Amino acid sequence: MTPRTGRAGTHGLGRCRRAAASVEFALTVVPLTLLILGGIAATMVFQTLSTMQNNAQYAARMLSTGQIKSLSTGLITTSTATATTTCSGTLTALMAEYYACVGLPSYATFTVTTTQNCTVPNVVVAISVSTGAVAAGDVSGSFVGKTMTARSELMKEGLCPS
Amino acid sequence: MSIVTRIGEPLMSDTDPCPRVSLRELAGSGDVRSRSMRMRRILSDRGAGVTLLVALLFPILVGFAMLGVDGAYMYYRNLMLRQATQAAALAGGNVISSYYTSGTNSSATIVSRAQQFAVANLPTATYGTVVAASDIVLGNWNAATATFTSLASSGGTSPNAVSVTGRHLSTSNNPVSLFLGNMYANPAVNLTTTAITSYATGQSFHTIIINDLSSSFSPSIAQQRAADQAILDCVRNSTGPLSNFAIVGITGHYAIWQNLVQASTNYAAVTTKIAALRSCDGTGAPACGTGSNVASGIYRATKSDMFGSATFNGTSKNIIIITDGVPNASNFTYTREDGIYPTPSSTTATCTSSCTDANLLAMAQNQATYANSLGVSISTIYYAGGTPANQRAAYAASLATLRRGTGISLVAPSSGQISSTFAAFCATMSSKLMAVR
Repeated sequence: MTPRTGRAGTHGLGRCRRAAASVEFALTVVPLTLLILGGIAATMVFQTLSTMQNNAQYAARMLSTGQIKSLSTGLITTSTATATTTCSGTLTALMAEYYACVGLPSYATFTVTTTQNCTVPNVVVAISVSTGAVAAGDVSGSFVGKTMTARSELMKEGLCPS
Repeated sequence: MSIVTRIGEPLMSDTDPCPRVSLRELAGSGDVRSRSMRMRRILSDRGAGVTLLVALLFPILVGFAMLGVDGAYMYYRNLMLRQATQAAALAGGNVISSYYTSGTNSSATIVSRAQQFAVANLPTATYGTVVAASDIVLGNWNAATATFTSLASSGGTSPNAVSVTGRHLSTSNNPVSLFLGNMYANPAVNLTTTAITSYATGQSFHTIIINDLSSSFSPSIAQQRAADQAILDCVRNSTGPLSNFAIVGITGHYAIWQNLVQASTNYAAVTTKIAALRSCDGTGAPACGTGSNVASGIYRATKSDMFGSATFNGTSKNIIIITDGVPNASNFTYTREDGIYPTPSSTTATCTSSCTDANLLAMAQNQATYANSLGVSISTIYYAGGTPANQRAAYAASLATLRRGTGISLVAPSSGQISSTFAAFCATMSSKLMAVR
């Protein structure tokens, strides 16, 4: 047998269909996987954002109606009060932040900033998180380094502070 | 240089079983038989099968990706729109009493407040005008049929509900843009939601009025009667059928002018009692010459046969104090029944004898705080009575310190405005979100 030389060999490789399916799979699996993982990551981001948005309004409503009268820093006694904390097990049901954190995934760190301003009068609850922390499957790193925030502002009802 | 797998055995050879079809073969024309054979050969060729499949399925795959990503995004934007609309409706509902107190049936404050909170949640610079002024509509909510009727269609002038519609529309230049919608010629979608808030919840609005029946307030007795009647009408007509109503008269002590009864079924009897309301002394009225002590009235209203009863737990309880705001101490020994202790269990009295006007105000504030701890809201209505003109503002401010919960403070509504002004009392009930569409 005579071994083929370079040019002839390359020409033959190009014409060969052996293992073609495997090669094509290797070529297509990358964009397909990126598409699927990207979809999963984006969906998780919006899913988490929706949960954050629901929680923000829930906490704001509890505070605006006076059902909850405390922040993580204690009972509200001044006309303007604000507090920033991270979601953790130390929050109790007497604190507005507790309701902002209920049901949020534990694998990310959520920061809650709550403000009650009797001058407006309003209540603002904002929940923020690193987008990359909640975007599972974000192999492309599209969400890394970004922060997403859910915010709800309601009118303060009744007496203030109370 | 050879490519080998084993020594002496080439990777490729002329015996390679891979089908080989040249372009000339594919393009060439021949007889029917040879063309048929070529077609069979092409169809039997599995080369680039996966790529072809992916190419064919790619629009479908992208479609599913669009469903996943854009679907989640649309859900999120719809949630934001709904919440912003609800916030606007709740804010508007909370100031619905301004319609009555404006004197001109103006909805300007309601519209302004609703738009303020719509913009606070969805800033115009980013989201366009989500809630237009024309999308904030006053009307009436029928709790029985769960329907909203605008004032424009009913011709009414007594709104109890606010309807707010939030819109993301292409016609408003603020539709929701989709990420992948361009691929399907659907780059944006329109979203609309409506929220209705009302205090006409069908829930009870228990009310105890504390009327100042002291001699100094006698010039305002007619205004008190009119106010009592307007509030009774409001409780009977605009709140749940089980709402209770009572009147406690005060001088230095209290006296029950009307026991706590169901307003709807005792309306005629209570109306007669209100018409008979008079200043101190006589049957059912507290004694004259004992000063003016609001604390005693609040104390009485929180006893166990009134708002201190567990029967009223979880319901809307309201005390409405009508007075000239002057705490007027008298030289007698005050007892627990006069509200000298901050709470029923307290053993330290604010004062017992030689009480000052300041002591009486402190006692009233303590009683108001205790009542509020029972879930009672306290509203105040100031009439000048016999107060000198230069002291009225101070007394009105002093009286307003007794306001608690969702109560409001009104100052000297004119006789011509009494009916419309006191209709606003029902509007002081906390609005609730009634419907989202």
